[in-house]
Amino acid sequence: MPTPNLADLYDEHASALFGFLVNFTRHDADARDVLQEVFIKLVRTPGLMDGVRDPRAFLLRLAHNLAIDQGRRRQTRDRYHAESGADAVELFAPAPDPDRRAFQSALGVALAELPPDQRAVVHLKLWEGLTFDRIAEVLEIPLNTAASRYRYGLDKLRVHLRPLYDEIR
Amino acid sequence: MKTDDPFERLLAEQSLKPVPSHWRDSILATAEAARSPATPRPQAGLWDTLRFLFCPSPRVAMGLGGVWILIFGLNYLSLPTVDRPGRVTLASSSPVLRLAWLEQQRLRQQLLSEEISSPGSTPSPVPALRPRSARSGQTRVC
Repeated sequence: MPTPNLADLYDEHASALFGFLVNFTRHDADARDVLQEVFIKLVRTPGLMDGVRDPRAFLLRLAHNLAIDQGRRRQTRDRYHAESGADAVELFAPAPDPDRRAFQSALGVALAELPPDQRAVVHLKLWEGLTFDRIAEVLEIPLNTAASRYRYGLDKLRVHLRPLYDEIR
Repeated sequence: MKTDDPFERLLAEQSLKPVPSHWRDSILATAEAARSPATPRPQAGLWDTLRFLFCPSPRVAMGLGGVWILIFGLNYLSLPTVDRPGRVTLASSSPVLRLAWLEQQRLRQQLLSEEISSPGSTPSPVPALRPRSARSGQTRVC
């Protein structure tokens, strides 16, 4: 597959990458920085996407790796984020229904309490609709690890959100 | 997402917030700006390669060149004077010295000609040794 235009790539994948990065980093500015790095890397490495079958999965993998690198570089800031209530980040588009908005807010808090590894798998499964095979490729983990992380993460979300879920059901 | 679990379906139905629209232009512009310095010009690339191969450090190369020039200069100055091309002789360097040199040459020629003109002349005879008692009239001063 030839390398597509940079603007086309952005229009097609930026929102998905941004959603994943916000959920993974729990910080809008960090998500923006990593999103920027993704496109800079694409520009500086011609042919990086040559032969890529699934551009979305490839870009998610690139974004994940860059987000991990960023986290290592900014360990001090990440600790500050963790201590300063990182769950305040807005992850979802506001729903018109107040009950739904409350559920979204609780879901955001519950996701923030998941370990980043579980959160990444849950995000890719729920909001990107990837199979465990593809999640394992994107995150470079074994298939069984991806499946187990999803199960553990989903169980924690279920426990956190059960009261609200029972209300709105 | 296809699932039989209503809880998973409810989670998946929550729509994520979109990427802020005003980020697009700045992100793409920054990425394009990052492209320019990274794209090498063909000539610059060739020049850089040659410079890296033959002259990785211009300062060191200039220093080595200076040392070689100094070595060549010292070597030239230490050559025997007869082998030095374009040597200015002492006689031709100054009119006074030249006159003195010509005088020396003239005297030398004169001496040589005198020796040639009297080849049969014999050296003065060495006085025969006489007994010490017969040399009373002679006094030797040491």
